[in-house]
Amino acid sequence: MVNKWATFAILVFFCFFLALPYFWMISTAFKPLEEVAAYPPHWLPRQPTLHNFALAWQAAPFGRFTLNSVISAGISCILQIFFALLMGYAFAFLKFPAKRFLFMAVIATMLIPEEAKLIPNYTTILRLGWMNTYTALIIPTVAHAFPVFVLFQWFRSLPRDLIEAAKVDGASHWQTLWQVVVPASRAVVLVLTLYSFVNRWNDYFWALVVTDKLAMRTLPIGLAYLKGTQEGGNQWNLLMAAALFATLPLVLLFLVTQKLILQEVQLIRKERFGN
Amino acid sequence: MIEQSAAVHLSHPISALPSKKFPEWLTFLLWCAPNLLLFLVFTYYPFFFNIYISLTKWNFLNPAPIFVGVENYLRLFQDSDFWRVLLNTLVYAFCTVFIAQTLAFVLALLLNRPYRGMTFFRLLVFTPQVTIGAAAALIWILLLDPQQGPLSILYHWLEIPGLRWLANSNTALWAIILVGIWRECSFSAIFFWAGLQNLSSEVLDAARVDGASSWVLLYRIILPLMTPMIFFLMVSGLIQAVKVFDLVAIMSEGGPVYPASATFVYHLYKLAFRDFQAGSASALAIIFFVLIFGLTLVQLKSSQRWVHHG
Amino acid sequence: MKGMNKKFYRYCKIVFTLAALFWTAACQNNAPAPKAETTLEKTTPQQAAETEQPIQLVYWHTLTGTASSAQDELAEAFNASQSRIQVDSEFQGSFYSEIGTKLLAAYGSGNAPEVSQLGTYEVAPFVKAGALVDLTPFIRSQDGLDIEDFPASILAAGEVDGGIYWLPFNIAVPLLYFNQEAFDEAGITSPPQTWDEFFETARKLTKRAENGNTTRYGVAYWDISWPMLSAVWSQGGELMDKNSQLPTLNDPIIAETLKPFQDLIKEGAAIIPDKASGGHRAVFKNGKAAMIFDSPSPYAEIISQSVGFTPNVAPLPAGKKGKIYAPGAGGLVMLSTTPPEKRAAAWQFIKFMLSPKSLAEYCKKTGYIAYYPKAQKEMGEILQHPHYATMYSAVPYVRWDFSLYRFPPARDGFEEAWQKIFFDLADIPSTLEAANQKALQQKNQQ
Repeated sequence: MVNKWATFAILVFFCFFLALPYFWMISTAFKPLEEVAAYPPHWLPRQPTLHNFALAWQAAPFGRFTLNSVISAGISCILQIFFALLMGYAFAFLKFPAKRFLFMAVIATMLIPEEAKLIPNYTTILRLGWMNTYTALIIPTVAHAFPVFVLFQWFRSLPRDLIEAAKVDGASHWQTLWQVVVPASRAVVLVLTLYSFVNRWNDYFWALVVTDKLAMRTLPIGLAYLKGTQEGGNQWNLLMAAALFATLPLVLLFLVTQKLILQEVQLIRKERFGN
Repeated sequence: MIEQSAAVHLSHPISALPSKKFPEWLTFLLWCAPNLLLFLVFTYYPFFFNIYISLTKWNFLNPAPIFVGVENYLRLFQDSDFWRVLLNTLVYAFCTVFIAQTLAFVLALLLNRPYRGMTFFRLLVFTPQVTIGAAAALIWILLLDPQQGPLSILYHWLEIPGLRWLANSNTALWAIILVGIWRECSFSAIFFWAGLQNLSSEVLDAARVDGASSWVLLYRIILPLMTPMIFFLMVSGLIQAVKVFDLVAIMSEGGPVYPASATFVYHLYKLAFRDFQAGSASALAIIFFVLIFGLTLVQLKSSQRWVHHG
Repeated sequence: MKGMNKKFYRYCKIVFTLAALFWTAACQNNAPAPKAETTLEKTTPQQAAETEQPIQLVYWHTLTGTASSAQDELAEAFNASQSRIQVDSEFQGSFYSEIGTKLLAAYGSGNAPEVSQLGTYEVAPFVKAGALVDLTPFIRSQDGLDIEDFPASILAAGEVDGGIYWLPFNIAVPLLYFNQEAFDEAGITSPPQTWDEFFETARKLTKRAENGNTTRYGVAYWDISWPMLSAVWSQGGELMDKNSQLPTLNDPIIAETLKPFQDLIKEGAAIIPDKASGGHRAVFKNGKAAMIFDSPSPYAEIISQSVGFTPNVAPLPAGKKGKIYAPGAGGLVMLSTTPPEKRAAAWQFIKFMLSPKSLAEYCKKTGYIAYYPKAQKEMGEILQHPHYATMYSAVPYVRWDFSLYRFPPARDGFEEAWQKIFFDLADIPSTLEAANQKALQQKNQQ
């Protein structure tokens, strides 16, 4: 067996490097302005202050931004996973002529960067009259090939008998999906939902493009308000305070997700070993 | 053992409704319809629009693009910036994905221990996903600072002058790759960890009971069962890595001497929105599309050989 | 397994119900009706007065921090000062390039605002595409702009083929910020007056450790080439020939001008800090560099955040041709998609923003330069402060020549060459020659 302490040390080392920038964000969020550019850098604020949070909050209507982000990211990620589950199942288990072609067509959608789609999609949104609406923030972002691809691979790797048994029992596809396949993929579905939410939450570019009214903007744009001007300078401490605030829902969501994932594992262990 | 878990799943009675009223192909269509429709409007239409524009000369403002055929493509192939951008993008993508995902796999294994307090470590692993790019860039520059960062001790010990990564055309890309690895490692580790959870724990426990050492466990059981996940993370990771934009924009803007650290999407952004050359930008998008599509096809083909299914 | 499946199913149902609830809430929470522009409103100022329906205008601006909030405040002041016109001021991206992108997309799709802020790079393409309104008739009209005491030829910045399409709003002039204590320590009594003095000063101010590493740099350069333009012009060099519209990047004076700057880097007396770690400003504020070139807009930030020393301001040194400074600018434009009946109202707003009182307000808050005397008078006592006096003493020496910004081959060619020279420490004459060749090629391809 590999030395327990050695693995623990490696784990700590890894996590230290991964979490260091976040730690810096937290630290800077509590620093007064003078300490921000100090050299050598202060890893911990010498004069911690809560003032930044108040100042940052006043700089822009963050309450409204948060609401918009919650609504658009929340609905978008739920729809995204829902449609991805349907499509992933269809590709994995159903027969269809030209299925391979369609599959490649779906994968291909991942290859086109957002910037290349910008102008045509902007025109489409305008023509549909969706500027400055939640619809514009949500609908175009719902169809995403990544979760489809992930689920497809995952479903294909599930034991065949699982599905066969369901068929034998006379279950419809809808039932098979929700009562057999999804429960067997809970961890993956949860992680995909998490990432979908994080992705939508952090989106800056698309939200900037389809909204030009303050009332409809989202958190990442709010953060941009605190960034430096072309010729001026950054107020890092305010920016980090706001950014910290913006990341809290994500952290919360992560904790909930991983708890749910672990619960499933524990349930299985319980049923199997009764402990 | 896996069959046993299947039986366990099915102990819940599935009501005996008459089986599918619909033909299979109709179900397929209906279930794929929402995504397909959205793809049609928001992805395929822009794609064809891009193909059209790539054959024209246009600066976004003039109402009528002028048809010029393949001139944009030829010009790109003759532009040294294009080849440098291509090289940068491929180097970035391959280094980031392969290094990060290897590390991520190891990390996921480490995170899998059922110790108390592991939640804290998992949270730490997740933080790169919520750290804004600007903060990440800043901290890594500090870490790499030849005089102040922890690495300075290393430089001192090796007695080499410190390196300012972003100020040097040869090393700027590597600084970006470093941050890319950091981010990708976190992303993949969480996925791998979730995948490990879904592996039936009985398989692992039973194998342990049978006296298998942990290395055997790893090679014979875990790795093969994880190959589907490894595969799709690799494919999608490469695709995502090729599209990197924010890190380049924040850390170097393709500099210090353009295009030393410019990648594909940044170059596209510059062509389209700084130089107002819509035709070249679209041509660039199409070229990369073909390239990565080909790469993905190759990976898909080879997957049949090493990815385990069901 | 029973319990778990049921539980998960229930979990899904709850999630979907929540989603549906959110959706209905969301649909009721949508932003109010689309801008008046997309509806068929057609009110003239007279009609508006009669029906008491104010004319709605949208103003797009860029920049962040005080530069942004100050603009919002000006718009609010405008709205408060009269009831015929209501202006909605919207932030559209942190940089001139971002707002340029948005404006581009918006104009192409018929969704453009009436008035917008725009950087100098974008003026020419927009004008050529017919996207901007010629403001000359407005300026000359009864209700026009008092341009008497505008600096000569500043309006040329927005001039294309005889029409004026862009009016200067936020003007920046390059300045030298320096560390007073460092100067005192080195026995330097006054800021460098000429470029030769400057290089000497930078060397004197550089501090080194025993192993030869620099602990304090004499000067930190900006990571853009803008200050170099002033240096080149002041030595008599030109990057392009305005009459023939040809690049002249291989002008030997340019090489002569840039060489001593590069030498400073080679000697370890100068550095270009990474943007990611805060750039030249951060390095100055924490005392690691004794001098920087910068615009007046970070003035307040530099003063308040410099730790352990007193920052001071000086004009840029003079070259063989004396003091010549290259300005930086953002300005106001009126989009041609503005319906004719709204143009008068849009002009009212532009006029307001550029009026002496408004401009002075803006400059006091942000550090940009009030570029004409009437606005400067409105600034009041603050101009007596030595720093402000210094900043404004530079204004008469500004060369209001934006032709370079409108000529991408030379503009971008110089930037690229400058990068190679300052970052890669490339050989100067050959780099400039190659850059000139490339610029000529690009010009011919246009």
